[in-house]
Amino acid sequence: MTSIRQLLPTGSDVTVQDVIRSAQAAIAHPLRPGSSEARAFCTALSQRLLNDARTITFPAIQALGYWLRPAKLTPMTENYLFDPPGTQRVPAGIVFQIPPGNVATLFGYTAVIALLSGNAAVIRLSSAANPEQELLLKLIEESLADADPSVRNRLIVVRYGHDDGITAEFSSVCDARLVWGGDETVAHIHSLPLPPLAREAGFADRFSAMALNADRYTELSGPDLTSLIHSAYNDIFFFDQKACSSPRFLAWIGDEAAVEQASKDFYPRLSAHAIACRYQPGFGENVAKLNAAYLAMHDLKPRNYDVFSPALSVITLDNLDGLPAFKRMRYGSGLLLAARFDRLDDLAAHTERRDQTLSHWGFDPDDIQTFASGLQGRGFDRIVPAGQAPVFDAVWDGCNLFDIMTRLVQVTP
Amino acid sequence: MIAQSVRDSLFCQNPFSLKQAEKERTLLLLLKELTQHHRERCEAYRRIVDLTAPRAAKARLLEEIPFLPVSLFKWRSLRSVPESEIRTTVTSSGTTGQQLSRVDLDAETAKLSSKALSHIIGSVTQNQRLPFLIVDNEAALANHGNIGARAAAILGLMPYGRDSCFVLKDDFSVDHDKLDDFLERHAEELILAFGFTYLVWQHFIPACERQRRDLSRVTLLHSGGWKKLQDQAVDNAAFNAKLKDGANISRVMNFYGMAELPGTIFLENEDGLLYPPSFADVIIRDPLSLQSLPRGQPGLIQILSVLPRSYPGHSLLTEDIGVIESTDSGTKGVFGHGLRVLGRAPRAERRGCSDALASMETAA
Repeated sequence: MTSIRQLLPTGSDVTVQDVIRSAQAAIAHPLRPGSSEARAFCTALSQRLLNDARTITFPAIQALGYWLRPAKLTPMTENYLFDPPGTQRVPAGIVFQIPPGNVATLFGYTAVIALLSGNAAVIRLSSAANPEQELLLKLIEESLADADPSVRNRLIVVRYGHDDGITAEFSSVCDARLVWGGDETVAHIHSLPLPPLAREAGFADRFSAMALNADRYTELSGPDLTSLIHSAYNDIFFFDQKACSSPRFLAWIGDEAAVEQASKDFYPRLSAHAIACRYQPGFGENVAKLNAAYLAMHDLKPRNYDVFSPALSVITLDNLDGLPAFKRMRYGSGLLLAARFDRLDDLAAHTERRDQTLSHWGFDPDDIQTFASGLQGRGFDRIVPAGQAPVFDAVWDGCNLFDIMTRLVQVTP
Repeated sequence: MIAQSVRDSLFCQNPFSLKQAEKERTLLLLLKELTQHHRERCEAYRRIVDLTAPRAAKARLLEEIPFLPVSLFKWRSLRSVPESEIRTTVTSSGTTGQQLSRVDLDAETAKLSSKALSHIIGSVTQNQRLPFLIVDNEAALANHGNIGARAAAILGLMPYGRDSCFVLKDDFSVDHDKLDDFLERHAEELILAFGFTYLVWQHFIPACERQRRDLSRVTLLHSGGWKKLQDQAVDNAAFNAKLKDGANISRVMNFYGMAELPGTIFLENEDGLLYPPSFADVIIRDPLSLQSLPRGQPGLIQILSVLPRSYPGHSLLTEDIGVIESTDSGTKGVFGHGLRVLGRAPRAERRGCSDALASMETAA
């Protein structure tokens, strides 16, 4: 039997039954969705994440701290965690979460959403430990120790290897299951049975893009230019370009001349900014990036391959025929595919269900609305301003996570 | 035609006697010709080279010869001859779930590869066909349509020995009766032995130790990577010492090569370094900038070889890390770059929202 390491509350090796008993004990004491106790915990955790000196070298932890501030959280819960007329929202019960291996801090978001929904969460982290994740666990545990008893025992974080037996047992007692993973993993975990009334959301491999208005770009200078370069850097490099929301395709919108002029200016600035921000791919990552670039040259018949620095390589395409297949390659660490379109709407023809996030810059709000409504579900679950691509939200991949983790009870007095 | 006669001349001298400057002059000519040869015959290669090294035809240094990452042969098949001319496909050994590398050899390239191998082995055996002891079992040759790395090495070497004897049983234990018979049949002779490094370490040496065998007549060639031995903290020196202590074998030569370059073998010299033969060379590149690095600085190993004509593999960037420790040291009459292989580049971490299969395979 594979051992399960309980990371939160810090403990030792535990059995599946230990974990299930803890979760069941936790939900024996009800906690209302949107409870003040859970909100108070979020605020305390936010302060801890933003103020603790140990988080300085971990921007992803600070980003979570920022996201948890009441100023951010209150509107989010108002938008997504409200009681529609004639209903009362109740917790799902036990939610079983399998967050992704590539974004070490994502479990922090899903854990908090589970708590705000009033649940107990069993969260499975994948094998490899990571300093960022360890620190976040520690800070959550410290905050929980000071929290109201009603929220204290509701988060159970465990680590175990790929073991269908364990995953099946947790699945068999949960009320909702959330799975992040590669296409194969998500499909595989879907195949493990859930109780008949449980619900499930799967978050599989996605592809993300960025659209830049070339004409507007060429008019830019000074702080506005610096700010755009930083936003683009943030979107692309924040998770080493490995998150589903990291843009890997850059759509330049404009005529040939404008795009030529804008891109010639943009890439060296982006590359220099990445280096100034101390971005550097790992050796293995750089080899993988090189492999992907050569494969792209083989498959996509690009017009140009430009290596600006170890941080940034760009492959410019004339022809997008091979792009759908190439979107399945999991390249990252500073490799962009780029192409030009006359109008933003032309991008729609190349959009598919796999496309998750489009971060945009330089368009009129009407253009964005028109583009979005023109897609009609063809692709892109998030269309956000440049700089916002890596920011997690309670609505993810088109799905309101609060809805998955709560139920609506119709109440007619 | 000039290129061909220059190439042939490389096979008329000791394969490790060429000094670095002369080697670079000779190989530059041959490799530029090969780049052109493949550009004209392999459309994908031309596309890549025109993007990565548009001035390849004007290369003045070996480091300006364009390279392909060796993994490209895992995902795609690149050929410079029509499919009908392919005689053999060599595949890399790979652990389960990993994509195999494949290269296609036509008659000419297959012939060149075996000529090269014969040339190198001949320098070890003084061109004698010695009794050949194979530290492996016959199951290694089981053919699944393609030739695996273990089989390729064994089959490649067999013609240069005689009375080949597979000394391991199916369970990899040593067949002592068979070994005794073999040693008896060749009581007074020198013996050539070959085995994969970890098989020799794991199965052959302990058995010889227990039997207190004296195999001082044996010259042992071994290859196949140090990964498994590094996990047990065994390095080349420890390996050689153990062979000396356990079996009294003092002539031990590691060789370094890859399935994508059959016949291009770097051979260990007395100084413990691996030397490319006259028709091949090594460049070390910075893993990030990919700039070539001077002697003494470790980086990614790039291998150049004049052998591949049926596929564009004459300049391959590997995922191995190594360092050139000496040049033209002349130890035992061996010249050129002396390479130490330090291991593989660390694998990229999982990417995408993915924790399932290795990255690129899905879109093959």
